[in-house]
Amino acid sequence: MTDTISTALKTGQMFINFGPQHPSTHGVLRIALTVEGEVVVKADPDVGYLHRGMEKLFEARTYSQALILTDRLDYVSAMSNNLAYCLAVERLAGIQAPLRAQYLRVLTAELNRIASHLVFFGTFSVDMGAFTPFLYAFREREMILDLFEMLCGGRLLYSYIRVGGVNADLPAGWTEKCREFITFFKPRLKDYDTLLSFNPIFRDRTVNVGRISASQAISWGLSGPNLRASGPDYDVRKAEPYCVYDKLDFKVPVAQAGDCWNRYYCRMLEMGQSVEIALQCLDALAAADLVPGEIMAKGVPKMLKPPAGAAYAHIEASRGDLGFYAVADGSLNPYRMHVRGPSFLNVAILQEILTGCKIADVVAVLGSLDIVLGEVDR
Amino acid sequence: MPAEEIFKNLQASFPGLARSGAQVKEYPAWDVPAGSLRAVCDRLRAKFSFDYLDMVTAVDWPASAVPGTTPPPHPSAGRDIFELVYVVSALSTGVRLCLRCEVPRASPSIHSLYGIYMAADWQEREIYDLFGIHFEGHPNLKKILTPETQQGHPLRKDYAHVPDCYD
Repeated sequence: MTDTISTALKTGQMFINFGPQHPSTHGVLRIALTVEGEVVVKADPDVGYLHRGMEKLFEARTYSQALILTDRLDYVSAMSNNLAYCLAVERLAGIQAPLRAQYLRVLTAELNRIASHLVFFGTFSVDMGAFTPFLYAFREREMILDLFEMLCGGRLLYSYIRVGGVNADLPAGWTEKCREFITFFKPRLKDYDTLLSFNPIFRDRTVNVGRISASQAISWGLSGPNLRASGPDYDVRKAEPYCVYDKLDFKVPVAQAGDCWNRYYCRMLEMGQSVEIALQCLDALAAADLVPGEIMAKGVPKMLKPPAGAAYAHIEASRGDLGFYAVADGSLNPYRMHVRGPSFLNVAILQEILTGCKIADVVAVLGSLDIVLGEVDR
Repeated sequence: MPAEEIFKNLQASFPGLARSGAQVKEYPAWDVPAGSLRAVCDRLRAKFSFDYLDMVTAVDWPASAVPGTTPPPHPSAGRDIFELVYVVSALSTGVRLCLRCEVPRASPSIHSLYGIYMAADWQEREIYDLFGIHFEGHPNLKKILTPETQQGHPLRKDYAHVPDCYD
């Protein structure tokens, strides 16, 4: 009798293609899932649908032409990509950007981090079945995009940060508009907490789901909020300060549990810190010692020809540790340019942590890692 | 422990280890014999808490990049090798190292770091896909970025595109 019951309850294994056109994959990612009933027994992420051969394209362009390719890696926070590329090339060529340009770089990178985390906040809430937060997130993000449009003409792909400095100084009225935005935005973070963060239904879907231990996170090379939500207090802005981060006062939010909710909440806290950094940058830019217009290092040739050698530069981008490894052979084009995209490493851990999850949690875990496929596939 | 002391400590066990002639700006770079890479990384992780593999990549240095032209003025140019670059770091102390290995272009193969650093999993698959370098001991070494129909390894300098139905 017991035999009949056990066979009746047993279900066979089933194979499910999650994606590549599934709306919650945030692009074109396919996860080959093997499930037994509700439970995932094997997950195999399949990437490459958006592969454009970026690293090969770098080799066929001059250093200044190649900048526009970096925008198209992580298109949700293009400023960070511009910055990491420029730092790598500046190291190769031995260029130091002027102080005013460095403050502008940090200011725009942090505003872009807020915009990028707002996209995460909006899309993750939609993944979890809450539509309203998405509208609020995009209302605020629109203001940042307007600021960027005023600054450099681009709303998504900026190419604002250039080798040796930045493209343009702040236009008239920009600082006031930026302060207006920050005054408006700061109280909104509390709104988000009441709207979503501590909503019982949202917490039921995310707390204790998709837990990553500290040792797992380190071994798999996670970075950014995904790593810090598991415990390690590692932020490139603190560990290896670039630009002017060592002169700025900010905290790095760290959590211990490493579940979806903590990965989500680390990003929410980071937005608050980015606002503080942006305010400090605005104050510094208004001070008398930074002369307006000094935004480009002197003597940077239009056709850059760095001496033969190699350089590695990495920054804390919105999604984690973004690195550029550049090899020069003394000609006009890079000999080799490798991009260490944080999303590429963040998505690889799915094969380990999805095993044992329920199907419904797959969306939560994937959403909480906040990947951008443009950077995964390159 | 600063990188210099770690270097001296390791050199006692791995005589092939040397300070690299081709420097990577801002970071100490070491030449590691391809055969002892896995053992060196194992030691770095176990004894010196280098727990984080930042980046793995490769650079192609063919005998002659384009037939008929002079090789670029770089110490590795024209040597007919693949250069593999590993960046490892210790999160607790913040020390970061570049490890360089060389494998012959004719039979490119090196030990996988899978198991020591799980971050090597996809990064090695990417190099396998784009450069055609074999990683011994990798349990799942298959193409990752390019489609199954892709011929050749695009990031090799002598890669020639074969027109397909999309051209």
